[in-house]
Amino acid sequence: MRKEKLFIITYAFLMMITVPSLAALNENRLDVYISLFILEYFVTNSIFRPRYRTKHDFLALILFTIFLYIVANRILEILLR
Amino acid sequence: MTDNQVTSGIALAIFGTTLTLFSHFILQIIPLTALGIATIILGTTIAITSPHPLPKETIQLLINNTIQNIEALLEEFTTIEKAIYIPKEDKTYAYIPLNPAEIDTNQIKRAPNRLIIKIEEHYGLQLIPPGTELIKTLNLETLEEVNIEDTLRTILVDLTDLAEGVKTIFKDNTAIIEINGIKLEIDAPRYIEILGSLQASITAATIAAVLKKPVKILEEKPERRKTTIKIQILGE
Repeated sequence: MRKEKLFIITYAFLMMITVPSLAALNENRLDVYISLFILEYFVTNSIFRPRYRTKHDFLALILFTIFLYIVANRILEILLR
Repeated sequence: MTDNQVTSGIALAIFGTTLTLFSHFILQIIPLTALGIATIILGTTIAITSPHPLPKETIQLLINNTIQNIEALLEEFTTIEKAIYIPKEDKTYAYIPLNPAEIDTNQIKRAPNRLIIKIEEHYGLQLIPPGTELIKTLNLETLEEVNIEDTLRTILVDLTDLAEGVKTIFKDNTAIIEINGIKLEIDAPRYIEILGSLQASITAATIAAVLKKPVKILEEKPERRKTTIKIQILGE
């Protein structure tokens, strides 16, 4: 199986087990879910290193920005407490 | 596959967006919203991930270059018959007779590996058809039993992505091969006339290598994204 296919299957599998697992733990913070999705994206990406149609992985850039925003938000929350 | 993958990726992303908005603003269920977001990311990932390790255009250009070289060579010769695919010890060659004659294929097998070969009074061109090196990588000689349909599917569908499916029927000394979902059509009329289409040429070379017998393409019926090839198996 090509690594591109494996990447998509693994990523889909990881995401689909994340949602019920966190839901089972009564997790109600949306940013926790999103942070885990982003983390899984970068982990599977670095393992399989798929090739993209676009020259740059714009999705990674968007996800990284969202991740930074979530982390910054959390830090601010702790500092302003 | 490329367009299908983009379409399904976009469809998944749109579904994810709807699910996210609906579950966030109306249902107000966080895990369902998260599932929607997961679907958006997954859809976008599917849409932007290339199914081909090498861009399809690059592969097509490389194959076309090879074909155009053979086409230019064929233009220089007056060929009268279709090629005979002859398996030799190292690889399969396509022998193109240059004058009309009944030639013993065993003599061609023993002939040196040159471009132009002379057997008694007969001259012929000896070319290496595309896909020959690919057949070698399968190490068919190490296998006890080789299924031709599986081998053709591996080469044409999995390795080269030149077609979507292969069906084979064998009857006496004839093989009828149906190749579906043709993905690359070459613009080389002389090549097609003598060696068959790219898919037919690879098929003939593969059958010759698997059966270790010379083969000849008797006829090829190209239809829309599909081709049916009749191959004659020569020799004992």
